[in-house]
Amino acid sequence: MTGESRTGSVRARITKILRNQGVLIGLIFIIIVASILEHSFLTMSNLLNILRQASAIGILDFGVTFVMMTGGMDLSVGSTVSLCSVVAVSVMNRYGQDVGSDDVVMFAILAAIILGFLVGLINGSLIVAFNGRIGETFIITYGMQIVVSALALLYTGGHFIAGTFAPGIYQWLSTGFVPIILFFTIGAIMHVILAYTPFGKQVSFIGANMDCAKMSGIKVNSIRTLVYGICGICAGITAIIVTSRVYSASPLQGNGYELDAMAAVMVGGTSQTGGTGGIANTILGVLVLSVLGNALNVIGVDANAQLLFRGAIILIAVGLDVWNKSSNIKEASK
Amino acid sequence: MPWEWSSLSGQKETGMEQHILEMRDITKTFPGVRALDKVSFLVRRGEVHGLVGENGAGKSTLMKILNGVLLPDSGQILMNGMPVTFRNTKQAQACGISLIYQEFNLVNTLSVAENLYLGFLQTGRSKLINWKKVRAEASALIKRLGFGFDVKEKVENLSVAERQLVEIAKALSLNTQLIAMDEPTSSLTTNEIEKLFSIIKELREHGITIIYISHKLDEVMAICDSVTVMRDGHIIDTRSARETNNSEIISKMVGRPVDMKYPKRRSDILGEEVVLEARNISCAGFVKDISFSLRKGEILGIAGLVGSGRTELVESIFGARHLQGGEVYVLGKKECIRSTSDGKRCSIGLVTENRKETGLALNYSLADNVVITNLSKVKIGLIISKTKTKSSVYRYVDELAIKTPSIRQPVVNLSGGNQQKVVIAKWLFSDVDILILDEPTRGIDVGAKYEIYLLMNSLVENGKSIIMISSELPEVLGMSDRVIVINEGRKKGELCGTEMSPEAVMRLAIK
Amino acid sequence: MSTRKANRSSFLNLIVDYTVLFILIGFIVFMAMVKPSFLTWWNIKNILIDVSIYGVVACGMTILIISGEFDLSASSQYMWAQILFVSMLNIMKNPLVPILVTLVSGLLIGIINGLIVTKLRINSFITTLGTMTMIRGLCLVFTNGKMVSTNNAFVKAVGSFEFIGLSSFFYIYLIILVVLSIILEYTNFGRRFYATGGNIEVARLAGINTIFQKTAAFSIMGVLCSIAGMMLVAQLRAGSTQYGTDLSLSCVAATVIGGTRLSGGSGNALRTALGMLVIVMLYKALVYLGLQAYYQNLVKGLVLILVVMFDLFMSQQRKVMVR
Repeated sequence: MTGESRTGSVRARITKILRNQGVLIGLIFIIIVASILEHSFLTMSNLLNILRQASAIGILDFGVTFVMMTGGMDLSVGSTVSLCSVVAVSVMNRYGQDVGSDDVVMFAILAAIILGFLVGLINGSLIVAFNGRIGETFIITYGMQIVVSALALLYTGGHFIAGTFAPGIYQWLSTGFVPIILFFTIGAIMHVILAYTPFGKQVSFIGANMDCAKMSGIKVNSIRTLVYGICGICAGITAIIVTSRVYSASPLQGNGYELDAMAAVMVGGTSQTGGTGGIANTILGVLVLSVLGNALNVIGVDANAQLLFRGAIILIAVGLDVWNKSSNIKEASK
Repeated sequence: MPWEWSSLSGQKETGMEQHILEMRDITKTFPGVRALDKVSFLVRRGEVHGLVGENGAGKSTLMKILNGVLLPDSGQILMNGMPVTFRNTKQAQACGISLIYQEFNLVNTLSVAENLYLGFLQTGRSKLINWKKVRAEASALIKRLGFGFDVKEKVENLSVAERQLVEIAKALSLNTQLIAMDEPTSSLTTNEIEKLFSIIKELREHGITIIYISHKLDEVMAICDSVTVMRDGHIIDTRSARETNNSEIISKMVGRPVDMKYPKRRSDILGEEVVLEARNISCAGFVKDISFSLRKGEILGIAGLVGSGRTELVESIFGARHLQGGEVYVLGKKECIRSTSDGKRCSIGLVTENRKETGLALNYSLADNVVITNLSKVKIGLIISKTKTKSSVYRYVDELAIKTPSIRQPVVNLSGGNQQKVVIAKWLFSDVDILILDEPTRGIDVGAKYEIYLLMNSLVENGKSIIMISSELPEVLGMSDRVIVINEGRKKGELCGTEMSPEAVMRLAIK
Repeated sequence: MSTRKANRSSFLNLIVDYTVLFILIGFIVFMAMVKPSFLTWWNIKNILIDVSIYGVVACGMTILIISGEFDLSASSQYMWAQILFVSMLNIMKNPLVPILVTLVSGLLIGIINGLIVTKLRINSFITTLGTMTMIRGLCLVFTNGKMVSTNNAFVKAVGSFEFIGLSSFFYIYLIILVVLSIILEYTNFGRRFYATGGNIEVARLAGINTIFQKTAAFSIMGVLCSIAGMMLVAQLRAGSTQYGTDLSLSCVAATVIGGTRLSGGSGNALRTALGMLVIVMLYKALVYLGLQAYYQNLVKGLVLILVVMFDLFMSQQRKVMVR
């Protein structure tokens, strides 16, 4: 019994295409509808805008992809981005004058990345210490979200931090094609790591069957912890790009990023239980959501109402994933 | 044992149907597989009827249809001469049929009493549940079986044998006339098996019919009145147990005369060198102070009853379980094995008892499953090479004769025997010298079993050493050079050469 | 190898998880020593009000956890109930229709949650995360983050009612607690939640409609969130998206502290009540000790993590004990 589907009616074929390429089709559909409703949608500047916005959160989504490939999730990424943002900007404010432009930018970037990495490691260690499956992972990272968010608020005293020292290089990071290049470069690197290196293969295997991975001599605990650390690093990088655009940071900067990240990753086709999917999928998912968000904005939909869409998209994405998996099981069953 | 059976409608009256159950021309097809082909199965009232056959012969499909879990494509079921149909288990139960699975149908967090009447507890006049009454009736039911444990106790606190009793009590409480038991003794001690047999005999005395499904032919011959053999979706034969014997049954199961079950090995391969030595291994709650050694080229069998701690023993040596006390020496050198990657590094590999749960990533391909233990072997620089992967995997597919249309095939589609070979291939790929096999032929048909035995022989002939856990006495005795016997976490004895006999092992394995 | 526990009086065992009692007593003693003014009657009354309002929702969360599910959208449903209720009260004087509409809205949301989880087979975390976001969006669209208030006489009356020094909220909670406890302990409908959560396959084979049970659990939760939202409106005469952001997790924490296992199949509402008492006292104590809002959130988050980890730890221990 092979895994080939029965070629049969046209209807079966169409359903199969819809399932596998549904996301791509959805993307094209949204673009078409949006450009009909609002002519300015399809302009070069708007499209570049979309890509630029996608890039910032996209890098975060790469990190979340790694975590979800192991079958986990990280709800604290939003607040991690907030924390790294405020720390980065305040580092530049405080040390800018003393150290000079280039160095302080380096400090700020390092600070954000290292901080993100540490938060990620803490998440990973906690989850691993409790042999966490989906329920525990959820609650532990949810709790961390509260904690990290509180830390960010504490750090800034609830205020918004405006960048007072203006190192041009930092702001350059979000101009023109820079974020887009960063997005695709980091994406390419992470894709290669995930799909073609031993480490990446082990990451996916853990998601496919964690017990089997353990019994095959894979260092499951170390890899799981590391994966959360990587996610944290991505959060740090995202924080840098996001703050560079406005050169300021709010302790609530990343609120909601975790939901968008999960939605993008799942829409792209990575399974919520892990094992299948990957960075290429996430790139698609990020693009779809960015296009959708931009389209809604351009048409004039309220920001609050967009929350409705966010929630609905998560449900639809997961629903599709579940549907896909159950049909695969039916096809493959003996 | 005092028995008080309330209304069990007269089973031994004359004039009633001789056959309590008739399954007529039952056919069931799954995509690509005809599981049952016009099967006609007759069971006499009040008998203990054994049902045997290899995995895939159709026994469980037949029972699932009987229990309402599956619907037949065609055919009829008659209870007491009257045609019946069921679409779910409840309906089957209403017709008097109960099936007791290997995985118990009990809710562990609830009490025994509640499990007996799950979801449909007795209500009093106030339409509220009358717990006193529920518990009283439950107690009475358990007492009738000759046991007296507290029905308030939560099922999770009971032993396996006690849970089985609860299942039987559950069946009785539903006024069951026919009980089908699927591998009922797989987790029982010998004492408990004896108790179960006496219960079965009592049930038979009182007119309850029992279908006994088991791989253990000795048990089947001991307790059953008649035996039905299935093979490849057909009923081959039904005989009275007295008129047949084990080898006759086996040859019907397999379709060919089976005399030599265990392939012989060269006698000169057993070395002097001790490749693995375990000293005073202890593991909280499961294993206490076990020591043994493994020589190069040896197959060391670990025998003992299910639940005696053998799996936990090997898991702690491999690093999958926390080692509380003791030391492990590999090639004479003391090793600190704290994780499975340590175990692998020390050249130890473990083929687990549940290949589907812990041995394979079912939706991954054969190739992905094989190379996962040593990915650095197939990489060029930092990247995994597809060509290297392919050639390595093909090598193992050939060597182990794994039947598959392609190495990209998701392993879920392979048969049990081939799946097991993939797991073994995975460990061979990582070049371990010490291979631990935990129930390597469980759930595999006789033909494939033989292939695994041949494989084991060729492995030791090529310098590997094997530890084999098996609950099938003939297998352990037939394949091992030496056997150690574990009893409730302790090593009770070590047998080799002519000392190795089923009686000797059994004597050590039970209290 | 089975372990048998000594026969404890089952009634006492029902209500009290001895560990929780210890924690509670220890906590009270601690506060009595550190800040005795914490234990004034006035303060205790306030604590009881909060316990009552959150407790109503916690009852629903307990039923869900017993059934093996979660509902994170409780916070948003609570907000939505406040806003809906107040909006309707501002349209009409007679509170009957607003009450009914709010209850029905809660019921509907609960049913939708239940159906998505059971029919679409999406796990309850993600489902309720999604619905939480959507409902929150709905609330924001309606109010734009602003508070809405009402002057309705009936609501004022309920809010200020007192009997034997205890507020109406306490009695409402008490009634709900008693009714739900009776349902869970003494009706088949209630027992089926335990079966569903304990082992869903077994429950199904026994003829229990697990889809109905789970949907019912979510529906009950929806209605309870509506009731709690209306109670809050009675207390504050206003509703807002600010109130209740920590509701879902507080209820989960209360349930777990009370001794209900996250894995399902056990627990009861009375124990959760005790757990909620602990949680609310903790929150109030934080405020009383003068901690800033951010520190409070920090502590709340830590408490949640610790509580869940404890539950995980205990379930691992349980697995080791019995073979």
